[in-house]
Amino acid sequence: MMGMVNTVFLLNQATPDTSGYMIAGYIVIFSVMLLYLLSLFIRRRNLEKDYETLEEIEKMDAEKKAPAPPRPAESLQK
Amino acid sequence: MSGQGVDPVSSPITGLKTQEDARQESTGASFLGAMIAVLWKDLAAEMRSREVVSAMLVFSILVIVIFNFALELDPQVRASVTSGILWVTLVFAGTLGLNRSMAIEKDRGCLDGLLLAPVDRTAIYFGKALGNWLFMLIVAAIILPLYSLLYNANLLLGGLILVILLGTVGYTAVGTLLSAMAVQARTRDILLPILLFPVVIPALIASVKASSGYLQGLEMVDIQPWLNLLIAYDAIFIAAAFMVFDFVVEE
Amino acid sequence: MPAKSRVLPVLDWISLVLVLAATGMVFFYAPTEEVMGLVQKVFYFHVASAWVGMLGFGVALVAGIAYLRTANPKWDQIELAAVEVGIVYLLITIIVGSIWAKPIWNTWWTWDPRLTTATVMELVYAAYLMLRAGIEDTERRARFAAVYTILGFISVPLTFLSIRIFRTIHPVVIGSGDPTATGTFAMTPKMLQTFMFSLFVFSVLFVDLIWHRIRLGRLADTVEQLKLRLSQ
Repeated sequence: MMGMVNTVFLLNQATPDTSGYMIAGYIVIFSVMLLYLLSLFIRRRNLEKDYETLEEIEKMDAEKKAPAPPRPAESLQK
Repeated sequence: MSGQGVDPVSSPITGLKTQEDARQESTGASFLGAMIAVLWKDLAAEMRSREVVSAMLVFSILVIVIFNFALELDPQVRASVTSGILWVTLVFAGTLGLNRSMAIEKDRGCLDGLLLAPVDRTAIYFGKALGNWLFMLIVAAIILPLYSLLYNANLLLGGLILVILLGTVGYTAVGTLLSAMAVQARTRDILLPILLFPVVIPALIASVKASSGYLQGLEMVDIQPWLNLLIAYDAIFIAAAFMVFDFVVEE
Repeated sequence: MPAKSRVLPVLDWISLVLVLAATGMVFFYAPTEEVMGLVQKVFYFHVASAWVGMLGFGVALVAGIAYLRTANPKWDQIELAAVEVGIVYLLITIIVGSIWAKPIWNTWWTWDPRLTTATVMELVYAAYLMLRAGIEDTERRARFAAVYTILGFISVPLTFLSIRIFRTIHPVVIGSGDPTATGTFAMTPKMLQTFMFSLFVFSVLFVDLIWHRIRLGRLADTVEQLKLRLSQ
């Protein structure tokens, strides 16, 4: 079966038009690569957001634990 | 070797230094003794409860019955798929047994007790692996004649038995190691087959091919490469498991 | 937060330019193969992706062994990064190879040693990710992951061998020309140059991607530790 494909090509001596497959192949290559880059980017952004929130919480915790300096009461509430 | 270069504060090893020393002193005789002790413990527990082997056995018979309907096993089809059915049955039943035998250790806290004992940990591994291997062989010893009886085909061939011995060695060598990892995970019930199957594929292919070679009465020349591959697989994975088991139970 | 690297953005731009250059070379510099037609052009990036995949799994193996020897979490991050990049590129290789196979082998898929081994490899490393997902303790997760990387890597050549005992139809373009393979061709100098350049470009891309992934892993660890500290 595999040999047949070759033989047909040789008999015709004309290059078959396989451009559709080539285009499909390169679309796959670039879209998978872009998707991976996107996933890296999104994960990084989410982690950075988490990090900032956590740091803020830590800062507030530190303020809470410290001997309360005179400051507005609302800021201590959270 | 596991303690090299580990930060002494965070290392779980340091607390066990005295045992580490004791382990170093243990000789070859005590290695064998520990291995047999672990094996004996498993066998004795199984003799009393019979839960692992009976579960594997009932499961195997169910699989064989289901295959009968799923594949419409008329005599002609049967001849070509017998070895496949046999190995799929053994592999699935084996996963059941591997999971259970490690889960028992973990749940009853036996694993921790074993690990605290001043013996070489690889002796524990070999004891467990040997136990699992025996359980699989018991199941195989029952389903081979049963299959022969149910499908009117003789599976009790010397060659086939050799393949089953070789194939199950590699399977349990990897399976025991991976099940020791899987029981310590949150997703332990589903994790073992997922971890195990991709790694045992070479042993499985070789076993199926060699078995069907013997069943169809092929020349030894056609079967030999598969046997060689099986032996190589067994040797490589036993050696690998020997080297890494310490890391699986270390803490 | 881990400090920003100054070299990395430069590497990003270099990778981008190189990938564009390689793409240009594939389409405008390399000649069209006569028997297969334009579809042969996927060969350059197909093999380059496979190379990146293997590179990823190779690096993961080395990192896994290094982790078991040193217990340094740095190696665990490298290992995870290498596996992830390897999985992505092996996936590209498999899909693109399958697209190439349709006009040349007249089928999308065949259980040839290379195709089967590549698929089993994807499954091994998918199992690796599931193992990691199932363990919460970071130290134990790293240890088990390293052990599984080693076992998985050892099984791959054996899988290949076990299927190799059957006959293969996958072409071997580099090295020997097996006459039974379908879709083989002789590379002209321009094709060879394009091919070598693609390999080089994808290697640079690999370094860039794995670097980004390692930084991501480091940030994830930092966030994890911060969470742990706050929950106490």
